[in-house]
Amino acid sequence: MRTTAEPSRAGGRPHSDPEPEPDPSPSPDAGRKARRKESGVRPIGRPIWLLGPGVLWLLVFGLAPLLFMLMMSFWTSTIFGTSPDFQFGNYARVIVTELYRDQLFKTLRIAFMTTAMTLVISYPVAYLLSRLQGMRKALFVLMMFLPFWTSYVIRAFVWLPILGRNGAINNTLLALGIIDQPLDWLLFNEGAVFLGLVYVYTLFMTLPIYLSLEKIDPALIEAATDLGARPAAVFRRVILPLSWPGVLSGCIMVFLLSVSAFVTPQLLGGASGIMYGNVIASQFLANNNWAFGSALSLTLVAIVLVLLLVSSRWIGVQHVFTGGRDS
Amino acid sequence: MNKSLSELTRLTGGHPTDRRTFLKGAGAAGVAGLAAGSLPMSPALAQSASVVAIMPGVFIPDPARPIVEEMSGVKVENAPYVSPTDTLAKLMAPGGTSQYDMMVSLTNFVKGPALGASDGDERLRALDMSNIPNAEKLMPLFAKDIVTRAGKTYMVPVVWGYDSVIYNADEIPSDDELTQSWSVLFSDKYKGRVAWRDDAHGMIMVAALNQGHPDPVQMDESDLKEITKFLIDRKKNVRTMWTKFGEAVNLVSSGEVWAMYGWIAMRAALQRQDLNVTNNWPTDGLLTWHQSGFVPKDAPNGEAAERVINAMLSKEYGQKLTEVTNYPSTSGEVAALFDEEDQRKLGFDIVDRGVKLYGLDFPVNIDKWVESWNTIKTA
Repeated sequence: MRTTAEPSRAGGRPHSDPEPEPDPSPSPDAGRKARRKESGVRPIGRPIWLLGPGVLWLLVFGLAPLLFMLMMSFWTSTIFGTSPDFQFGNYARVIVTELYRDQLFKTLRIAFMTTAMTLVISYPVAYLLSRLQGMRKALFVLMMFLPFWTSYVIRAFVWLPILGRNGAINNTLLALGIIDQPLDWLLFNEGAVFLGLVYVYTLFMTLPIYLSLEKIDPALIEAATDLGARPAAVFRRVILPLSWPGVLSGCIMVFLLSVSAFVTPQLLGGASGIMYGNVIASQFLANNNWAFGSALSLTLVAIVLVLLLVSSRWIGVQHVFTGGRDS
Repeated sequence: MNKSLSELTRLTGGHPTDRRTFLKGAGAAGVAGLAAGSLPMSPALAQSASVVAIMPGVFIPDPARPIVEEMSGVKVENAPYVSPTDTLAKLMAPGGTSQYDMMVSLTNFVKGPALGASDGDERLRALDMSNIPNAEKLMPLFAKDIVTRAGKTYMVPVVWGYDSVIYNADEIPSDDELTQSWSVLFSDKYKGRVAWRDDAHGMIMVAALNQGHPDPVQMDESDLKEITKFLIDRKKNVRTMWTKFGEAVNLVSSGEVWAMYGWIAMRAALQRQDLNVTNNWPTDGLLTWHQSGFVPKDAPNGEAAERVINAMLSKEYGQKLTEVTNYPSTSGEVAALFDEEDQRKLGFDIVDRGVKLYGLDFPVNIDKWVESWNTIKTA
């Protein structure tokens, strides 16, 4: 005869126990185990293998092309092909040639400014979107997405008949008698490039900010208001910090897209419509210099990586990659 | 289908073409081309060989395709075409000589690397000229450009053309002295109304010709610096630079610019919009080029590809190609199918025009040219 209850076969919990009652809030792990046993599901070991497809995908489509590009950046290319002669000449050329340095700085400047402008436009839009309900929200989202169902090139190209000499704006201003000659400065300059880039990338900023704003518990805002915070303070101390991961995510996406843009500057930038992306493209498309093109590309990758790492010390870029969970 | 096609090809065949017949033929050919595309293939064609070809789509327009396919008995499947650089890259890539059956690309660009340094290095198949009898009827201007080595033939020019200034004659009078040369693209007179092509090769070439360089391809670094300086100085007159066909046509048709570096097909497209657009014949140097048909060394259907090249050299195909795209065929029999006025407009008489003809050859130091061009754009 047993004096203490034995664990049951099924549950492991004693039928009766003279010892103190077990903790009524068992650890999550114990709870999971108990649920598994109740449902009859047997654990099959640590499911690391589930990472397989993702890791494979990253290796094949992420790391391998990058490594191949890295390897090729040390090779030699001519118009007649690329040969695997290891040398540092391509990187030396990137560093010492003024053209590439200038283009790099110009491109980073344009990308930063585009990101800032897109943020200024997108945040209010995202905020408005997060406050709408029902059909109005659905309609607004549809209106925002609609232009993005077309091609990127078309979204850049569409500015030509709007901003051109005989475009919609000039024709309207002429018809209204506001101007007597078409305005040439609307198109084919850096301003037009900014306009095109901001328009094309707005969605990439609006969407993550909207998703962050959507997750904010309205009770927090109500609480802040009840405690006497003015709207500006509520925004500064509650809304903005909670939507920060979305802001960072949008900024990083827009910055990365802008820094590698080459269609928009080509179409809208006029005679000086060139960014670093165009310089890279010309190496691949015009003179078949894949090795130097790879070196130019990897230089950009390295600089962007350094910028991200440096900025992560101050603006918490890691939030973007951890979904806002610091641990 | 065969009957209607042969009727179409006979519309102007063998006789000088007047304007009415020219238009009628082009229109009917367009309809027939559409019809041919929608009808099932004849049993003979369905059972025949097919070739995978890399060539600019404009060189086998829909109305001309049935002519080539009927004549050769070979179905032509076009692989995506990007550029001469890309075509060459595909040929030179590992296994590239067996991926495609035929290619058409800029002769002077491709021939060096495709032939290799010496006899035996060729990445091209030596053509069996008995399958290409039409090569004997090439225009004398291009007969000398058939690419041979050690008694074997590797490339045959099939299409030729020229790059010039395309301009709106309503805005820039044709009797303006500037229209007689490339100067119209560089002069202050049309500031803000001209477009350059965003292309190192073409633009540096015409700037050098305009500045009196006798042979731009051979420019050394100091010459290149001078031309770079000149283009940077002249850039202030440029409204924009175009990269693609449609973009260029739109620039002129929308009135954004009045003159630009342009291609034959752009002139044709703009004239079809009833615009008073024409091209000049720059005395400082008309840029001429030709594209050759060739077969990669290990092409699976080499003989069929040779039959296609032969059909592309026929007068029937050449006539249709010229009518539809304005690009002239290299066949010596095609010019005579057009009346004198059309021959002049199409450029069949370029040898007699007295303008300097300069082949769009490839500079050895293209790398420097591209870098200079990026410097010009950055400035």
